[in-house]
Amino acid sequence: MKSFRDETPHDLLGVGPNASPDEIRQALDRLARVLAPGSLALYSVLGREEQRELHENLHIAGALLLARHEPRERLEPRGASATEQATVPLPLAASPHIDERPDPTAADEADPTPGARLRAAREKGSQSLHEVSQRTRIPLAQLAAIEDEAFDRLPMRAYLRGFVMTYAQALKLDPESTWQSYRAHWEAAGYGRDPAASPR
Amino acid sequence: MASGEWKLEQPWWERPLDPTIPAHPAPRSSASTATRPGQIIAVGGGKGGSGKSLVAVSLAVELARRGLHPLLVDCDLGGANLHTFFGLEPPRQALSDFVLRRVENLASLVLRTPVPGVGLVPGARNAVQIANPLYQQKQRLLRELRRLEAEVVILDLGAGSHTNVVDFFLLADTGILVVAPEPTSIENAYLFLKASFLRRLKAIDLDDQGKATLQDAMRSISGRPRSPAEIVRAVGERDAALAGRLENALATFRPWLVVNQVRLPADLELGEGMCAVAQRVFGIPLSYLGHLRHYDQVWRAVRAHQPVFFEQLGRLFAADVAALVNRLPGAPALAREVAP
Repeated sequence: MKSFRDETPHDLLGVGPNASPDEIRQALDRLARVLAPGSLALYSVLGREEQRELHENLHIAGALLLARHEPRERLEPRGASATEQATVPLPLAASPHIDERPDPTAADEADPTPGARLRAAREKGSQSLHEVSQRTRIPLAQLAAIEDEAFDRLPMRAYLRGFVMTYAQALKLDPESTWQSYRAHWEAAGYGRDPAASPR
Repeated sequence: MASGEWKLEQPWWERPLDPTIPAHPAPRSSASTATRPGQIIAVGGGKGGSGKSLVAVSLAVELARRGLHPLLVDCDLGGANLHTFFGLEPPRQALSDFVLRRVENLASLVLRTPVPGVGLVPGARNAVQIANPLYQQKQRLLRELRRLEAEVVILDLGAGSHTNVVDFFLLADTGILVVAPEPTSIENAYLFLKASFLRRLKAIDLDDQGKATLQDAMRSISGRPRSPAEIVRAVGERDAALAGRLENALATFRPWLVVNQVRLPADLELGEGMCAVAQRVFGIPLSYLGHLRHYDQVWRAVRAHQPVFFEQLGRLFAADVAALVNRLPGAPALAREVAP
């Protein structure tokens, strides 16, 4: 049974596309409680490892949806101007399942790998992983895995895309092109091609 | 009060024997079915001892309190004992006699119960012969049940996920799954849900081409447990129109969940959790109807084969049952307290 991994963050949390931050938080709190690893409701349906994964995915989905509602200052390094804030689009305004055809030019310029470029951009701004994790609400381990391109520790496409774009935006990189080059690497490593055949 | 008026308010099985009343009530006219009388509710849920019969009886008593005349039908043909809940003697004739065509008239099997308004069709006298009726027999039974003049029919199903039980669950208008907060009961409930879904899938009338496509789709995802969502998706990759038909046919499969024997605060979250699991892991829209708290009195009474006196169970139990019925679509609100 793999279907909970194929759910969009909205479906996983069971909230509508226009759910408010409060609704998202409530849904996450409730589901994290009633579907906590080891809870009776999961008995015989998911193994231990899958139960933890479901729990993690719930939190990831919650973080992802909440990130869209975060005030701009929390995603931008301090001092970003108000005009700048207004012109930068939110990374995840569209559904996670928008057209994602590979952009052939994206991978070509990847001299340092996309993960390494994210790390370089972060270090250039003297920000620790911890600080970025606090600001973006992306779990620290996931940020580290993104930089290391440790693909087997990364979530499925919809979440990964959200993480990478949110992270890129927090570092003032272009979210879309960062995702495109990251995705090219991710897919070249054999991930995310066919839901049935992929390791995740 | 004129006596004629009073009689009109009684269900027919409580009226005095009158030779002018036809033994078999006339089928309902289409005008009266517009208000959805004769709605059939099935109570099932895999494991024995989870409290299916208690839930069925409680629903009947509460609906009677609200002025309806519910008819309970003991469909547990392998171990019928609903009469015991009312302290009735084992019946001379039962549903099994109807299924075996020893009795042609289902109406003649209806017994009065000590609860005003509630009628009972007792189950089987001989479990061995009748535990697994044919599909046609079940359809005939359901057809006759719809012809009975009951405002709501409540089927108390047997244990297990056998097609025998599942078919009654699917043929009813409303299916209620009962679980107790125990791992075995929960596991059985999930098995029951999956079995019901697959049975519903098989019952869809498909041409040879459609059957082949469905089989091909099922085979392509074998090796892993097949969730309803996955099956429909796999069919959709082959034939979008067929997937649409499956989705339409499956859209009516919207079971309800009752958690019985609740003892711990954590048990109150089980129902919501199970509904979330059913939706996210199986793709089955299971809705939470509510819970019933555990009562030693009930357990004692059932064990001692004594009738369960609901009026003695107190307010909390009554509140639990009322909450279940309040969420049941189409159930009448309790306008006033019924005088004793």
